[in-house]
Amino acid sequence: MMDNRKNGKDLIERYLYAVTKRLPKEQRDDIEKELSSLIEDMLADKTAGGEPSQSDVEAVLLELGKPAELAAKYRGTKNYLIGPDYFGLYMMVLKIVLAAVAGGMTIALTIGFAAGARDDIFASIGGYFSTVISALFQAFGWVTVIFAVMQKYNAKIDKEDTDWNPNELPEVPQEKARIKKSEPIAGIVFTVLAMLLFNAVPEVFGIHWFGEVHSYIPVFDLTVFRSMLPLINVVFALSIVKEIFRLIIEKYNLKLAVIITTINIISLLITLYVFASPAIWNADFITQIQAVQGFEMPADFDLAYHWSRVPWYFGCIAVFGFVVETLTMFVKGIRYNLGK
Amino acid sequence: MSEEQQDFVQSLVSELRRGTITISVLSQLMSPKYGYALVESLEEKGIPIEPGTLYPLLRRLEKQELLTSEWETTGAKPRKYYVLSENGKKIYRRMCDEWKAMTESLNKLINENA
Repeated sequence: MMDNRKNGKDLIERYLYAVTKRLPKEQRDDIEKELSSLIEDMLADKTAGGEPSQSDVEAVLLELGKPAELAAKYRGTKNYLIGPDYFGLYMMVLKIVLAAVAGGMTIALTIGFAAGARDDIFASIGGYFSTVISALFQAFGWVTVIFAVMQKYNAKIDKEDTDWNPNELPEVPQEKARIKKSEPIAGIVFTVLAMLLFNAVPEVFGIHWFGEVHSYIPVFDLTVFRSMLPLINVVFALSIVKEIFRLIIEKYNLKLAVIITTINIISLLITLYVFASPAIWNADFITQIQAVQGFEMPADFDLAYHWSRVPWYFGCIAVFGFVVETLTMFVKGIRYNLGK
Repeated sequence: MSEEQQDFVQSLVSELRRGTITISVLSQLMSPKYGYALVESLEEKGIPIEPGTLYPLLRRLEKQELLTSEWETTGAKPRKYYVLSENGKKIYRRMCDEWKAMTESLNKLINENA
């Protein structure tokens, strides 16, 4: 009897903990006190004032329902990782990304296999599957994280702004202002392919000289390149986020221009940090290229000088691209949304 | 009626019931009551409500300032008593009018087919 009672108490404690841990801190104590007095009342009712057995406790807890459900009723809101508003889009982007990863990996690894050292073909095939599978999981993870963040951020906005006014419905966008779905989808596919090349076969970025022997001079210092990969991947991920915003907003407007420019500023800073400094570029590029048989340095072209300027050129291209996209976004955003 | 139809009716009935829970609870709180006493008195009067539904509802109504609450610690066990606030009384009366008007209209509708 004593033992029964002890177990019952323990069950109640565990139940209360399971409910209250899912609730905001400031409500926990009060709800716990109230629920515990409720459970006592329900038990007293069941046993007509007698000593409750463990099965009585179980019956009462079953009647109260699953802890997670009870806690959800107290919270009054549903928690979503990715809610119904985003789920359709999430599935679409996920399919595109996974298809691009699988297809792109195949291409990238084939190129890598053809360009690189000719290893054992069976080892390559085995490696292919394990690399593709881990890449697919990573892609799945990244897309899910991106959407979960958007869900969290937007769920907050929705709560603050609940009423709407039909007069504030956005105008039907002019034909030109609409963004066709194919553009962002192509953008995502392209980004994923580029990401794969960077991650799986960075060796393709180099000069392949098919003379009597196949010589290869990498453009990047591959050690530094690998250490920078996480940052480079952040830039790719941001670029996918950009395309997702294009898919959601579906038209050129100021909001989209501001969002894209904000993302672009972050991407630009990272790109400049990674590529506009000499460290990532192959320092021995010139000596290696001169060693290649059959290669003749053009007389009127100072290759060494230009190679030393590559980080600078690259930085200029990145800034130029940034300026062009920013201007385009704002010009389209403003021009297509002026009154008719 | 087939089992499927019965299930369907059951789900419609519980949907109807859900809308009436708030007004039922408010009706019982002219004088202070604690949660479980409310479960019992409602059940006696033919409106069964699960504690797991009622307790969160009481808290929500309190947050919406229809109810006020107080812990009563002098008895054998501490209990939280809820009672209608002034605002809650006003809203309850208003809800009663709405309910009467609604049932009247609805009765008319279903009597057309009687």
